[in-house]
Amino acid sequence: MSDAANEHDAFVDPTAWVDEYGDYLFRFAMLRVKNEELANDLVQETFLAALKGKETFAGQSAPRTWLVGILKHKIMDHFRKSSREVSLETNDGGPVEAEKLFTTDGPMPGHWVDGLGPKEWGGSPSEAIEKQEFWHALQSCLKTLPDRLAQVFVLRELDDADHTEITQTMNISQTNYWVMMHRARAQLRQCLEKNFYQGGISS
Amino acid sequence: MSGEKMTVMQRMMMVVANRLPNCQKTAELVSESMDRSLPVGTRIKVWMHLKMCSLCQRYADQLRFIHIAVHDHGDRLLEPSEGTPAMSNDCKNRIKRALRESS
Ligand SMILES: [Zn+2]
Repeated sequence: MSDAANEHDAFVDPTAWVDEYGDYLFRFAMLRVKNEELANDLVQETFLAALKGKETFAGQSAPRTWLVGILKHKIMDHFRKSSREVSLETNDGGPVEAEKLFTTDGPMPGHWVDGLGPKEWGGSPSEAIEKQEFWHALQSCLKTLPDRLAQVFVLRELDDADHTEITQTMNISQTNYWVMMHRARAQLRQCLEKNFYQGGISS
Repeated sequence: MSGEKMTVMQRMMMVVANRLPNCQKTAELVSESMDRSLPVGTRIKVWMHLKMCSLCQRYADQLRFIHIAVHDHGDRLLEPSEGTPAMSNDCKNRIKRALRESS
């Protein structure tokens, strides 16, 4: 059976969507909300909304793209609702890894702490990107970020949202946004260095 | 002659270095520059710091690489792997039921 025929069937019988796209949508949600229960609910809401809006989908895009679009909205709505209640500082979470990287005293504070500066990574970036292990390392490093840092990072880097949209959705100030992105990037970089480049799997 | 020249050079470098952001501030600005364009004065200061500091230059290169990986190849994060949990069959059945009920 051709892909097109497959997609047609899935379209006629909405329950077939679940088998066809459920896992993908679930992974998509998990990357953003990191909570299985919540990811399940968001995917369910997505399918139900898709069923309601079936007529508006005139096959202008692939069904998966259409469903991902709906899910993205659901996730943004969830962020909007849940970030209303929490302030940044309490939910930013955990020890601030990015701040431990730099000296706080001595004649010239703000320098890399001995041994914590970025190490030579070796190998070419394009080679790393080809490796499954790189993506596994990146995936598990994303999981080590405090929730809000991970969300802001994913919205920006994966979903290509601009910083104005993100600050509004997450209910944070511009200043906090720059701080959070800096922390997220610094921590991810350090984690990748440890898990991928120094774990001996990069070569 | 050349010794004296060096001292002048060094002194100039010292003056410049004192006016430049430190490594921590530079790391923050490198991140910020990936999300918006910095004022030109700040951009020059960051550029000069990176010219003089190989650790920060390396940091900037690695951050740039992570950005390209996630932004341009991020689909790979959605590939099924051993570490990622899949949706349970219970949940799939629950959703199918909900879909049947509302169609
Ligand atoms: Zn530096």
